[in-house]
Amino acid sequence: MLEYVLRRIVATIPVLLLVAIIVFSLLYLAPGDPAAVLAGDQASAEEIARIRSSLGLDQSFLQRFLQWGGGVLRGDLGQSVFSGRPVTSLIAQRLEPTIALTVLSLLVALLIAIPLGVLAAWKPGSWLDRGAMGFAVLGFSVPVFVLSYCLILLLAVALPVLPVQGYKPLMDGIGPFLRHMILPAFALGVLNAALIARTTRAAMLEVLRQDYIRTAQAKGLPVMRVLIGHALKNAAIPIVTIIGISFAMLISGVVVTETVFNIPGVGRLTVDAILRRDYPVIQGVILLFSVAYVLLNLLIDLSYGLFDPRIRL
Amino acid sequence: MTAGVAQAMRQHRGAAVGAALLAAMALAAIAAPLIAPIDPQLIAPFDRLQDPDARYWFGTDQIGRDVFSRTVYGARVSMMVGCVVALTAIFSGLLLGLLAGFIRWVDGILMRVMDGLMAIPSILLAIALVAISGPSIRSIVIAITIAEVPRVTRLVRGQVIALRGQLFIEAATTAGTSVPVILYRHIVPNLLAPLLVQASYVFAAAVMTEAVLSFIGAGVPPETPSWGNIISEGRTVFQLAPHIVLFPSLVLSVMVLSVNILGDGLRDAFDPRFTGQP
Repeated sequence: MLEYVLRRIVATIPVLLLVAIIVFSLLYLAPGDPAAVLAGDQASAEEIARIRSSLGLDQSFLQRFLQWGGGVLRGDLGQSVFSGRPVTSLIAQRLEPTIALTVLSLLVALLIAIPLGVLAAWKPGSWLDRGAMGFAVLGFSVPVFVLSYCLILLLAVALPVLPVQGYKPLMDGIGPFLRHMILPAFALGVLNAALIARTTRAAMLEVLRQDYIRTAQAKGLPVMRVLIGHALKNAAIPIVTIIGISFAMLISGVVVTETVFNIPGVGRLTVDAILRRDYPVIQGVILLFSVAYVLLNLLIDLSYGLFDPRIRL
Repeated sequence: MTAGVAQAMRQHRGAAVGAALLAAMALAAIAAPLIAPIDPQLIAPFDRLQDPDARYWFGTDQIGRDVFSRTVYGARVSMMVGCVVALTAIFSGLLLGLLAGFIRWVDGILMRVMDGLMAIPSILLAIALVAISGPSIRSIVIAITIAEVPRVTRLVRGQVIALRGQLFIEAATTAGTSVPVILYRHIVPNLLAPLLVQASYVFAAAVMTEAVLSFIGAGVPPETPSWGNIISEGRTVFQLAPHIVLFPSLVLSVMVLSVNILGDGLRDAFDPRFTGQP
């Protein structure tokens, strides 16, 4: 098991390094001269050159990459071109709403997708199965802002039971926090559920065909125990794998959902940075999300041992 | 292959409906100047935020432009982005996947780069690429293509490696057939069906990504009537005039849905393992 864990962790390092190189290249290739921006309109060519060398902008790609990479490892993502503040603290300030939205949407997605996928696989071809798979195709096809606006129209404008937009931190009490989170988390969660439900169904169909399921049914176990205790446990690996992959969709969904609902999270930070061409911020956010995505998938790889004892050997 | 497509249309009513809807939207995009009743850029200050009626089918936006005409012209942007990205991503992925599947040292380097690209969520990668190359349809197309190529490459490489182990390829190699001929005659024809299915999913993803990019302001220039732009502009007046957001949203969802069900139908027709019923 230890060898498996170590091998997986070591295999992640080159991927993270590649992500770092790609993300760094983006800023390296970005148009505009930060030194000229900092120096202002009145600056002479010598002044700009001086600022450039003080920022290390006259060094080679490799030198600059190593310098930047060293900073990243120490938690320094550079400074915002717009506000001059450190990117790390800009992101840290905005992290709470984003984590809240991500966790709650994932929760909504799982609560919808797992039961739906299990029941669809239990009665394949039934109206329930057809409905579930129809929902899955729809979930792939409806962009998250479309569902968000439909929900706002329904539950915040026509039937004003929930706030249209905004965010209340958890510190202000769980009630207001949840009231502001229901619509965004539901919109994002429902769409994310489509992919997970489809994979759950396929994995369950595969398992339900096995002999030990027939044995479990033959010895008179209740349906729920067979479905959950025997089948779902053995279908877990493809399901957790797709949850990891769907995290990429969830991240892009977060960027859009925060814009629709005016939630001051990392997604809004990204969108504002795009509009202001604030490249260090864009770079920092992309690096953060990509590393989170890679590490989550590493954790999922490592969790396989919990579901399938053979992997532990 | 043509037989497979025909079979998909016959056996899967969904696929036929998807194909028909897509064809209708393609026609509408081509014939946009004939269909749109009003110039999509025409500003009518006295007709701001009109509800849908006989003259303005989808209503008007905050500067009095006709939302229906803008939506019809928006189909051009989406269709163009979808088709060009699907074609370029499939061709680049095919080329890279063949290289990776046949040349060992290329495989190592290329697939690591693809792993790195795939570790960055595709919307974020596209955002970054558009941010550095400026908002234009060209940079959108390039950005979405780069984000989609790794998946196609992986698919092709996997298929090539599986095919190389098959007896008929071994026989051809033993008979002295050169690599280019094996590729052309034996490998590529076997890749066409999975690539056609993949093309439909890339098309859907490209249309969706373009809309999202335009919606968050990292897309085609704001004056271009694309669905994402129309929805983004309608965002500020959503409570007053929800029709500006809702109509293009509906059309966008229908387009992506048509492509997806068409893709699912093709997949089922080409690969019986994936049929809906067990």
